[in-house]
Amino acid sequence: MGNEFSIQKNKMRIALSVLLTAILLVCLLCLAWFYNNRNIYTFAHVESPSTLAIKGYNQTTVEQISLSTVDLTNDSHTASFVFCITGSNIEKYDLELAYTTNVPFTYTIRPTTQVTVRPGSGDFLTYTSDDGTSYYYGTGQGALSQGKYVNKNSEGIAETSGENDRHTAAYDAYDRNYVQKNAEPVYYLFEKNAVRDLNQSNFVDYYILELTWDTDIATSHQKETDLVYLLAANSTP
Amino acid sequence: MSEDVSAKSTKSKKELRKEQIQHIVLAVIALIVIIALCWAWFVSNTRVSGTGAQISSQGSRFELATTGANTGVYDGNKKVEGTGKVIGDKTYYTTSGEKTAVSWMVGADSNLKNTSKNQTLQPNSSGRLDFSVIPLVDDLGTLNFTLKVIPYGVGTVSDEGAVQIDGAYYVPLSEAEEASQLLMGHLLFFSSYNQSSKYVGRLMPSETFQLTPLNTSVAKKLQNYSIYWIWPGYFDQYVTRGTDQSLFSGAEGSNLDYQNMLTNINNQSAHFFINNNASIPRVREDMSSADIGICSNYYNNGDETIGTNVRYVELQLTAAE
Repeated sequence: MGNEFSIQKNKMRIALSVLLTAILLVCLLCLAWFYNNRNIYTFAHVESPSTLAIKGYNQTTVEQISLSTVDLTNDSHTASFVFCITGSNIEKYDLELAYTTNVPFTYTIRPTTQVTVRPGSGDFLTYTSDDGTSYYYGTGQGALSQGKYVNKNSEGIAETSGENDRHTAAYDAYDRNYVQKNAEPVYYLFEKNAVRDLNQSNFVDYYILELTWDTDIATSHQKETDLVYLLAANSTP
Repeated sequence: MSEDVSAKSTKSKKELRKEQIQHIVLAVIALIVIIALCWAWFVSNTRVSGTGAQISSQGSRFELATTGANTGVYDGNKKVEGTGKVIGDKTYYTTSGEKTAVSWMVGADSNLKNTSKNQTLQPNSSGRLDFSVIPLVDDLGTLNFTLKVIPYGVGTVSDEGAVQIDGAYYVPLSEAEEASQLLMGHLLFFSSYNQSSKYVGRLMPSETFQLTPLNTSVAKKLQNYSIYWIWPGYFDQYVTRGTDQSLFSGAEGSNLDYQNMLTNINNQSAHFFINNNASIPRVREDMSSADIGICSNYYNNGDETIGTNVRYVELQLTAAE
C-alpha cells in the first residue's frame, strides 16, 4: 500500500517536471521569436577642459586695468597698457573689446611679446614687479586687423536698429529717451585668434591696449567717465 | 515478518529517493542542454520553422542602415562595418542576421564630431545623426527606439568591457558616477531642429521613443530618420528662450519641451550641476540674472567634471518592433 502510494507520488513528480520543462521550452521559443532588435553605435572623443584667463603683465592676476593714470596732457596723446591671454587646451579664442563712448578715445589692440632684457632699439613699455624685475613689451607691431565692430553706427555710438542692433536685446523698448547714447557700449570683436605657440601646454599671448586721442580732448575741461571691458572666449568649434 | 516488510519498505524508500535524485539531476542537465540548443538555434538562424509544433521563428522584419564616408574614427576595436547594400544611388551599411549591431557610418552632415581625429565632443558642439530603417516585410509596425549614452574613462586591457582606441584602453563608467549622471543633462538629443522652432521633441537616453520618418520611399523600402544632438556651452541656453543660442523658441504660448526641460533640471539637478552641497536656485523662466549666474557656475563645474573623467562617449541606437 505504502509502496504504491510512493510510486504514485513519484509519477506525479515526474509528470510535473516534464510539464514545467515543456512550459519553459514554449516560453523560450516565444522569447526568441520576439527577440528581434537591431543596434547601431558610434564613439566620440570628449575634449579635456580648456582654461582661459585675461591677466596683466608677466601673467599677474588683475581684475582691472587701471585707466586712471591716463595723462591727457602727454605729448604722444597715447596711453598703453599690457595684458595677456593665457590658458590651455585651446587652439583659437575670440577677443572682444567693449567700451562706452563718453570720452572719444580711439582704442587699438596690438600683439606684443615679453622680454626681460631691455631692448636696444624701438619703442617699448616697461613694467617692474615688486621684486625689482623689469619686463619689456615692444609697441611697434601692427594692430589686430581681423576684427570688426559688432554694433557701431556711423556716428561712432551703439546702433539701435537693423542687423547690428544689440540695443533691443539689452534694453528692450527703452529707446534713446531712456538710455544715454554714450552710456551704451560698442563692441569690437576679434574672432578666432590663433594661439601663437601651440606647442606650449599653457600658452601666453601678450597684447597692448592702446588709447589715443585728439588735441582738443587734451585741452577740454569736461570730466567724463567711460567703462572699458576686455573679454575672451574659446572660439566655438 | 512485519520487520522484514518494514526493512524492505525502508530499503525501497532509500532506493526510490536515490532514483528521484538521479532523475532530477538528469532532468536539469537535459533542460540546460535544451536551453542552450534553442538559444543557439534562434539567435544564429534567421529562418527557422518547426512544422511539428506549428511554431515558426520568422527572420528579421527590418534592418537598420546608415550611409556615410566611413565609420567613426574613434570606434577602435569595436568597429563593425555593416553589410553593404546599394539602394538608389547610395550605398547603405546595414545590420543583418549575422551582424545585429554595427558601426554608425558618419559623414559631413551626420556625425558626432567623429569624422576626423581633430574633431572632439565638447561644450558648444552640436550636430545631427542620420539613419534609415529598411523594412523587410510589408506589414512592419511602429518601431520603438532607444538611445544609450555610455561614457568611457581610462582603463586597462583587463577591465571588463574595455575598448581599445588608438592603442589605449578605456572602460565604461558606471551609471552612478558623477560624470555619467552629468552627461544625461549636458549631452541632449532631440527629434527635430530648425532655426525658427529650435530644438523640439527631447529624446531621453535609456527611454523608449518613436520617431516619424522624414520620408519613406516605398519603392526603395527605405525610411529615413534624423536625430539632433547638442552639448550647450552655457546654462543660459536652457533658460532663456528665443536668442540665437537658446535651445528653445521664444514664440508666444506654452512650449512643452521647454517646460519639461525646466522640470527635468529642477528634479534631476545631478544631471546638470556640480554644486558642492550649496543650494541651487529654482530654475524657471523668470529667474534673476544672479540666479542664472549661480547655476551657470554649477553647470560649468559639471562640464569640467565630464571633461576630466570622460575620454570617449559611445552612443547606441537600438530599434525593436
